[in-house]
Amino acid sequence: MAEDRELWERSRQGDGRAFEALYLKYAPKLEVFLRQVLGNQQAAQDVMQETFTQIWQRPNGFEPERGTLRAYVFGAGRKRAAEWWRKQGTRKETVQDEPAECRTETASLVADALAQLPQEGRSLIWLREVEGYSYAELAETLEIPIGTVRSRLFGVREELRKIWRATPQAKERDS
Amino acid sequence: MKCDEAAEFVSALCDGETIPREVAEHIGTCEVCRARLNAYSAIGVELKRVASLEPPVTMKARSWEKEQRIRMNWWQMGRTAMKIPRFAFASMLALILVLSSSLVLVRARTGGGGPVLVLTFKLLPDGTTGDCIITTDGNARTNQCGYTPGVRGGMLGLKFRFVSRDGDRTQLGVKATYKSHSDTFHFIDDFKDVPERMVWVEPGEKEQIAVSGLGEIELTGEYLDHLPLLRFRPKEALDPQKNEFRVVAPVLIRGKEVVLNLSENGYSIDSGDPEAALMIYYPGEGRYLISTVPFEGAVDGTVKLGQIKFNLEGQDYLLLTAMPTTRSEHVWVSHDPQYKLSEHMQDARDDLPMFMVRKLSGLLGGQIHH
Repeated sequence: MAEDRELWERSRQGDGRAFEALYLKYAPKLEVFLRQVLGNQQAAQDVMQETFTQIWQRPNGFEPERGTLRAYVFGAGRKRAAEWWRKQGTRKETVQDEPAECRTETASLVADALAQLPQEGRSLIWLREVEGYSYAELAETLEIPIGTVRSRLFGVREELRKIWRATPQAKERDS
Repeated sequence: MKCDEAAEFVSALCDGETIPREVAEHIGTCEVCRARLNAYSAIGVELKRVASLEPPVTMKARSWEKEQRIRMNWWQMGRTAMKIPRFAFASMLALILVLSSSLVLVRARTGGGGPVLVLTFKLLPDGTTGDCIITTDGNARTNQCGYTPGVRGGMLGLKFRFVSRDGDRTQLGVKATYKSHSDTFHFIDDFKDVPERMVWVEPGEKEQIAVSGLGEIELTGEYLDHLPLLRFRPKEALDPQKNEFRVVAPVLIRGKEVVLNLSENGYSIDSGDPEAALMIYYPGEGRYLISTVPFEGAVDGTVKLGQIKFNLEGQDYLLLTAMPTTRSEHVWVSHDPQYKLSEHMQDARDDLPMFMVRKLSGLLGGQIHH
């Protein structure tokens, strides 16, 4: 975290190499996260690039005293993803452009269940389980009260559990 | 305990959160809850596995320095972060501009990008505020300032040091500390072990600084083209505030004799205390106390703008000050010619003049604090 703050301070002053270090650290994770949110690999890459361009161009957006840089980066990415969805209009959210045979059966079950969740639920559970975000970081990234994080996570887990249990594979496994 | 009541805590348990004892006991013995716990854990594990199966991200190198940076104005910042309809935001901006048009004129005259930086800090959330001024032109005599107000039963210590300037942005070295349960602050000793942190200040931006044991303070900055005459009160109006007692460059005249002239000694102001009083100490003259509330042994005096008239020991006195002192039309005055400052104030000297505005009870008590 201290390293992030130092790199950020140098970036703010126009040090492109410091910003490049932050980009290389967070951009791959952000792109994978955006793939889940957007369900489209090319869109995820575009939105990730736009997010970092925006952060570089407007260096006063992040206030270190208010939270972590990681939460700020993912929060900015989430907002751009929401913008991307708005531009898509009425397109269904659960787009998956990746061939099904690329995934193992179990992974596909979870990924399919994840794809059926609303965008915010997908963001929440991914950031918690994969990125290991704390409740405070989730609150900052998703702009919700910290007290709401626990109840929303429960709601998402329950949704996932129900979707997962309702799949034919799961029923077959349980019987 | 029902499983429905425990369900949210099962989720919290997966996140490493502490849960109530009775819920933990229930989960330990309930098959349904344990199945839910196992399912949640399995989902978490599988999500991590899905993430591992994601195709690797190939990063293209970018030359960031070539990308233009944007300095947003207020309108752009508002548009970017807008959560209210744009028409409503535009109307709000127009209203603010109309209401503050006189303020805009004043700012334009003072020259917004001058070398003097007025730092305003506000304690969050209760709003104790103060100002401090430094210069950003390398003048070693004025390139740092400090402020040590009494806050929540203790003393807040703030010290700002000019480091560098880049356009409208100024980098400061900031020391911030809090002495709880104290009413004194030593500017050298109490700052000695406080680490300095670097903060950038820019007009229109708010910086938050955490102060251990107290909370956060919000820091803003504004440039002026000159050093204000009242260094720590740059926004002081001619009209005194309610419960404000202030004395700027006092001169005391007895009959036709100038008793004391402290026009070089600055000013002292107290805002908010209805019992504020002025103490003037002068070698050979002892102490004068002037209060906005009556006290034992004091005589009545009258106030008009920057003049206070009273009669003591059969002689007429006139206290002249550079600004109106108080909204009150009457004051009460006492004189103690035998008063020794060193007996009542730590580190004070009897051969130097001094004046200060403090709460009356604090000045009447045995020991006076700086």
